[in-house]
Amino acid sequence: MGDLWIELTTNRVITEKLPEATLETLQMVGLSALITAVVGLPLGLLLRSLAADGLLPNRPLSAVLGFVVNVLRSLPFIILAVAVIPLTRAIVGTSLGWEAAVVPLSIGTIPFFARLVETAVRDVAPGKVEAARVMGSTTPKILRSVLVREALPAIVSGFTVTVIALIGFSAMVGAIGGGGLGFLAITYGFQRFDPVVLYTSVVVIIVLVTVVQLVGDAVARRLDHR
Amino acid sequence: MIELSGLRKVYPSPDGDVVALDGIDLTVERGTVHGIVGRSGAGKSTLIRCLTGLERPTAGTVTVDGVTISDLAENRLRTARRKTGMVFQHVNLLDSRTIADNVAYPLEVAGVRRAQRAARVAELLDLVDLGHRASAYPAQLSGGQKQRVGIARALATEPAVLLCDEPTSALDGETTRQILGLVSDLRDRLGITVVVITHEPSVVRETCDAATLLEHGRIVQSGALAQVVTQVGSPLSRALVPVPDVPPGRRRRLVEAVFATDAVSTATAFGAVAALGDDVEVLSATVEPLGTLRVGRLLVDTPQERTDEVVALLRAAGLDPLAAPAADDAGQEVA
Repeated sequence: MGDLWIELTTNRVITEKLPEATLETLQMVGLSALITAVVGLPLGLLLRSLAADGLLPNRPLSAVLGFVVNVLRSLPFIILAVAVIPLTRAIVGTSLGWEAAVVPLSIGTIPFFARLVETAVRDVAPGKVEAARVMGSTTPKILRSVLVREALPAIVSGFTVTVIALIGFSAMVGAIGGGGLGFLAITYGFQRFDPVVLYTSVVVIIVLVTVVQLVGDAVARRLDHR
Repeated sequence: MIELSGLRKVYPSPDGDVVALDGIDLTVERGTVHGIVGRSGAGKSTLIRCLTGLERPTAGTVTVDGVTISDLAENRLRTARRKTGMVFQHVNLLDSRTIADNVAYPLEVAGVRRAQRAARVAELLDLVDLGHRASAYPAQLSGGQKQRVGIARALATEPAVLLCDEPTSALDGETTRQILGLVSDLRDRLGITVVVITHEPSVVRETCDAATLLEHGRIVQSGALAQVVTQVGSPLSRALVPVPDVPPGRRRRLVEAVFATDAVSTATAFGAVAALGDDVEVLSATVEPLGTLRVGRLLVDTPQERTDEVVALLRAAGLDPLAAPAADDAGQEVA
């Protein structure tokens, strides 16, 4: 035990690189989560609204959008991450570092989160929408005050799952030069065979996932008045 | 107040068109409570959806408080809907909002300022006797309390018409009575016009001034309650004052009779029946309250040769009798 403590406090990789890598992971997950929320929420609402029993039924558009979302969701993340490298270069200017990792991470999780939003919103009782329409609500008002607000606990739970998936994906982009804890674990832990670095990275990731889950559950519970 | 003229609604379907409503002409007077009864699939829900403008008629017009809503464009219709309040079977409150915020919803939609909203919400919650639960959430309320919130919400924008779609079907007997009492009370105090859709005869008997019976999208009978109920043999009379089912069996001749206590007391009515003799069998009978009156209906099995005599005796006693067409087994036809 004492040996492990000495190792943890003296290993230069752990004392210098680990905090830096953790910060990078937090930054890339944080920014990707923000982009996923901002794009995925409207996309999920759109998917739901375009359905035959939605607010703006449109069969062709619904089919096209559904297909695009399915294609993006079918690709294994590591392949998607490599495939979007040209796009990443075009947007960020480089394909290395945590900023570059945000592009494949966002593209990978937006369709995932959108589907979760779609499911959450579909579970809102149709009677509530009908009541809102009878009371003279406009479509934006129904989207905002009925569909999103009533589905919010489920949307928050879906977002929690999405952020946890993002943490997992962020470790994967580390493998192709994205930085963060994944990069640290692979380069120092695996390739230079330093098991302490490898497992310390794993522990930090476990802590991150646990914190996200606890916070997500707490927020969802506070919002849920059913 | 409500005027339906030549109303027709057809739903296209791959297996041929489904005619939900066909040639509905109906007038509901201001300040009355009008019941619409009929089996499921008779067109009741389609009718109420046409009244809210949620459904556009295939033909005919819907006029509510002088506005022909069947002609309005969607954006004008949204404003017109505020003149109509609606109460739903499953209430449809927003679970994420407090009771007060649920009642405030239609006011938000109508663009009422926050300060005025709060005052109006307090007033509405007092009206339905739930002022003390303003900050509770719907999940914390009983079924009857939720429906009272539903009624308060429906009244928020001071509508001229209150539409109730099976308002008590999910409630127990005692709670049903409270909700119906509240509806009657609101009509008396606010002078609002009410349309109630229901499959429960007791709801119509206890609250309505007039009733309409729908069957296969058509009006079978419509009229003032006191009149239609005492019309022996009429479909609404049978629908609103049903006698308990008679088991099928070999009958002689069935005679149906109705009476109301404004013309004949229950004692006189049953005395007359008792005086008919032992060869006349009462198969089924009921006495139900109707406003301040009680209305009775009975079904007697009569020897074929005494039919005319029995009819005459019952009529002489002040009942309104009707003999079923002569047949070996007319039991199912009348019951």
